[in-house]
Amino acid sequence: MVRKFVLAALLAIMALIVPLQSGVQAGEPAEELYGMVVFLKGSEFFNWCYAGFKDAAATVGSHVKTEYLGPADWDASGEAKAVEQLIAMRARGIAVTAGDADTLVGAINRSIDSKIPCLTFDSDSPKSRRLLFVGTDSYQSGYEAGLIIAQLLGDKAKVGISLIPGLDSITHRVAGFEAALKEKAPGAKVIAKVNDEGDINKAEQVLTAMLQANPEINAIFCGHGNPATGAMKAVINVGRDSGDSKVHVMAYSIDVPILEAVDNDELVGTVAQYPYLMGVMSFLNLYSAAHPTQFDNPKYPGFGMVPTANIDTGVRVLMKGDPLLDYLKNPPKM
Amino acid sequence: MDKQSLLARCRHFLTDGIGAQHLTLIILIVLISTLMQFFFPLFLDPLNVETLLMNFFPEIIVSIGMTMVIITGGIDISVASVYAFAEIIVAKAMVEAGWDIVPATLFTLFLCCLIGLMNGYLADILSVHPMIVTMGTLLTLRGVNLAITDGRAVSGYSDAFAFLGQGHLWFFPIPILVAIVLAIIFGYLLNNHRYFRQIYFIGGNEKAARVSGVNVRWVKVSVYVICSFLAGLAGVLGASKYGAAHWGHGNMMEMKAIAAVAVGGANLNGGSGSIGATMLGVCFLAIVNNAFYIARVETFWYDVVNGGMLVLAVAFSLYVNHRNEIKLINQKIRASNRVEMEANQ
Repeated sequence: MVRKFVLAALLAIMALIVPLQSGVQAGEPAEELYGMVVFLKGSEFFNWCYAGFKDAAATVGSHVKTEYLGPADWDASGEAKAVEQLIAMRARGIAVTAGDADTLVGAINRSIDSKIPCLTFDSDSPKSRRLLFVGTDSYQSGYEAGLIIAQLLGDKAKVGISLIPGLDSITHRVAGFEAALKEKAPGAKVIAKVNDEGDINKAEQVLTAMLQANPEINAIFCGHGNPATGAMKAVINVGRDSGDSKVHVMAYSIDVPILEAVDNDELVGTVAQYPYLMGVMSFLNLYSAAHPTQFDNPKYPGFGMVPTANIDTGVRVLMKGDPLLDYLKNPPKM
Repeated sequence: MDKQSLLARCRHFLTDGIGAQHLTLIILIVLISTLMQFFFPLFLDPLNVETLLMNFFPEIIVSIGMTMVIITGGIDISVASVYAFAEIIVAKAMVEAGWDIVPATLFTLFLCCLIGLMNGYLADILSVHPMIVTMGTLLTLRGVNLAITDGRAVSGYSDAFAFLGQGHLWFFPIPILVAIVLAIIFGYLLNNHRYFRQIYFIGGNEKAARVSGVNVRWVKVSVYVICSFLAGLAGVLGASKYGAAHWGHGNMMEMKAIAAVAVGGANLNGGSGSIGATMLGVCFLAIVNNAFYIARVETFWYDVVNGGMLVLAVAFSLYVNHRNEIKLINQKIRASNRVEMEANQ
């Protein structure tokens, strides 16, 4: 009796294992794995990116699988490890957003050397041999935000900027913002720049101190996604969230609380990138690079065709009443 | 060794809680590896094994120092900041000051030793819990790392320096060789050298160690120095491997190192632990981490497993301590009963 039971159990296990081991069946295309590597994994922005990446992969076929990897904090070495892991898993393509441009150079180059197409999205690693960059023109996005503040306050604009020093994308956004102010409202001034370290609480703390030390400031530009909530709290802390002395806050995020704050007039606006589009374009270009056609890629021999120039996915400043606000309020679930 | 004493030693190993924990770890490592290889043939692929080891080499080096600190009954949570600090200093010394590899590395390691010295002395002189002191160092150094780099990465070293972290010797990646050699050296010293044996004595009973003439302060401080030195060395190799130094590198490394030591069966209250067991802990965590990637399980669950293993390891260590205490009490009772019986006779 016991022997029969053991035999039946073994057969049942074999029945489960054999299909797993047999892998691809005749006529089915081989499985292809594409990976997206991010920092701050789990943030709404990168969830949007991955949703685009995954949805684009689904249009190609069920044999195409995607993976969403990377550290939940701002550790670019963790991203490099994830890229190395995807190389070891023989991925067919890797899209990576560089938490630090230089740290990712080695891992991206190893991917290219292993004949695995690799591109950057959102944050670039220009010293690497990535095939191309898919993302927002940071300078232009800052410029658009600067135009709104210039239109709103004109030469009277006295601006404080919240940023993380050292990040190329943020540096370019701030440069674009300052260029727009200089061009459209030459009398406007940037009074202070503070380091929020990418943390909402820190942003509230340093921006409150900035407003107390510089009462002439009447606008805040958030150079990246995190500080807007802290900026709103800082404005309330110093009692300047309404009336003539109101401080106008321009955000740089499409997180739901920020979109709602724009709808409620608590923020003057928010710079919206198109992360879903970044994901879609990243996948489509990786897929193309992984499937060479009859003519070789002129810039990257051995890879399929991809644009030789970077892809700008565009930007839009969302203000109260913009129909895009409602659309973005339903972020994808992971 | 005759057959009976060998059997007795085996029996002792299995009935002793820590021995059973090590055996369980070895069985789990073999089982997970076998199952993973069966279902995912990429698992034991040489490239994946190299990636697995390279992704954990800083944790291997840092956990050697952490093991010694934990055996003394202390803890050092500043290692992540020391790691990033060493990356930045060695990079700045070479790229900005134009120093050669050797003086830049020695200077960096010297500074790391000073940090360890400060940690050890502050914890001992101020009699503040080492967690508080090293947390202060962690936060202070994080600020220093940000301030001296202005948040930017430092890169652009020579190929010779890059070889340290990216090169191979006899097919073995250099950082992994360094980690293995360090584990062997410190494992041997902890088992055999008088000075390092004192660490167990201090962790088991500090007062007794002091009364016995052990220079407790010096030994404890030196252990913190070794821990910071090893974190610094891991940082130097990390800077070379990634080709850049950045304040954000090595985040949460302290937790991984502590988890590895605890999973390896060390008592977090001090007195027990070994480098070999810690290496088993690192291996286990590295294999589970890699299995999550290869099996394409959402990697957030790895943190759940990591945290769960830490809690389980601490609970098991408490259970073993409790059981040993009861054993000791029973032995004392039996001994006193025997003395009483002999007196009565």
